[in-house]
Amino acid sequence: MTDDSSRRAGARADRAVSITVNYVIVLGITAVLISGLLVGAGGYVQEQRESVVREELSVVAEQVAAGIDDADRLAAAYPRNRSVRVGVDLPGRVAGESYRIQVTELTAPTNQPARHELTLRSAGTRVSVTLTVSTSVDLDERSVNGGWVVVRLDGGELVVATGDSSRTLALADPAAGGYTHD
Amino acid sequence: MADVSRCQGRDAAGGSECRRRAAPRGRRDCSAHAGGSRDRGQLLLVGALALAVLFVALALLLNTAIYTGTLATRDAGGDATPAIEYVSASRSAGADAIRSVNRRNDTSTTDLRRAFVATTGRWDDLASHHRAVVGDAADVSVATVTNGTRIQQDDAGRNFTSNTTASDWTVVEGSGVVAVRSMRFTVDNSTLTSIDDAGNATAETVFHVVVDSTTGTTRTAYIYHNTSSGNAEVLVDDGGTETACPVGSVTDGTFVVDVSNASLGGASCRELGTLDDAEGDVSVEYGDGTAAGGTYTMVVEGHPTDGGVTLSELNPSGSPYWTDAIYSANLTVTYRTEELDYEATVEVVPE
Repeated sequence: MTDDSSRRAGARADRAVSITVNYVIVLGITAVLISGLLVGAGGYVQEQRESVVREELSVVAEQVAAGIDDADRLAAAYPRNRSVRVGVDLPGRVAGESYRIQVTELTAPTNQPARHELTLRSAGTRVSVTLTVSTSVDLDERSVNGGWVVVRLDGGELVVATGDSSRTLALADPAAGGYTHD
Repeated sequence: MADVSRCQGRDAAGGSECRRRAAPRGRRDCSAHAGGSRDRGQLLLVGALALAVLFVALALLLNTAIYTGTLATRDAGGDATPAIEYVSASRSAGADAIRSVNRRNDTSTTDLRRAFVATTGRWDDLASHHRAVVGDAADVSVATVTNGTRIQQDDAGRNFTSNTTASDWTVVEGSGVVAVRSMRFTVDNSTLTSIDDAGNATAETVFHVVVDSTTGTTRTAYIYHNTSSGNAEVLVDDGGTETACPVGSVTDGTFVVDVSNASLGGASCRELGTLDDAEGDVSVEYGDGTAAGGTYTMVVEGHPTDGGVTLSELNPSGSPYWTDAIYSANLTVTYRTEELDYEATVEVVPE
């Protein structure tokens, strides 16, 4: 009994020390591990977010280019008194961020089609994607927000503009011909 | 958690500190241990929650990535191809309508115009129904019609002289004659002058057509039979350069000199196509009309009622004669889809 009592007393003294140390170590290690995990996972998520934004902007840029290409083809096909409007339904946000489409002119060699850069930049992550388009009809330099975008022919050059909020082309009355038939 | 189990373990052994000492103190110790374990659990909980949020964010990103994939496979914007095809089809239908109307109606320019508008309208009704099936709205309407004059000789046994059998004569001239199209001769091979050298064509009595314009070059086409080659030939003089083209084939003793199609008896003759590339005040003259025979037809832009068109050497009926015709027309073509609004004015000039 005596040995047991002294052993218990000794153990209790050790235990008091070990509990504190144990606490500190366990809390410390846990905090380090969890914060490390959070920082790592947070960084990974951010990286993935940028990658997803870049990917989506590339797709959106291709769609804008396709819209410009369609409008250019129509404008160049019958170059007399034509009116061209091509609507491109782009997503309003990419990975939760708004973005802007910027058209910048590049110098093209003489007698070559006009070359322009389409730069799409997201508002939050500042990821930007650039695409070069060649058009036979000149393209106006300007920037618009993503979403419903309309490429129209205005004064002999194509203009990329923000579309109507109804996300449809607001149609004008059909042009009345000089003659009517029964 | 380790502390709680240790406390409970000692209680079970019967020698625990909690039991031997005052019960309230032991309970305090145990509750203190239990409180500490709750704190530690909270740390894990917060960490787990934060991780859960990150996983949710990751899942949302995955969702966006999948959506991007879907977006990439979608059609971007309105497709321009149907619109361009429709305009092209309208143009071709308009050209056919002009040809048909010119062939069937020659009473007056008003009748021609009415017939052309009606024909185009009927085509538009049918074609727009076809486009409506795919949800596209299309329309063709006649914007303007340009009057013309068709000049023709139907009598295949006649030579290319005027109504008064003048050999060198002016077919059409005047300030109102702006252009000429659809020039075709069906020439009787046996009526042609035979020469032995293409270089002599300009000097000999060879039938020739002169298309003169105030703003362009005077171009002349000589039609003759070359005894050296044994074939009929056309020598085109574009105001400096002379090019001879042999005839492709002679059928039943005749061959066709098709200026619009730049062909001679079916064989290509590129230089011949330049003959009617004249703008401004255009005049068409025949020289040595006795040196060739057959039929011919052409349409000039301009009409006697509009002024400035002289057709004095043609008959009102009987060869050679002139009739009212439509030279060309402008069509307004509209094509609309959900994502496309296209309108263009196309000029229709049959060849």
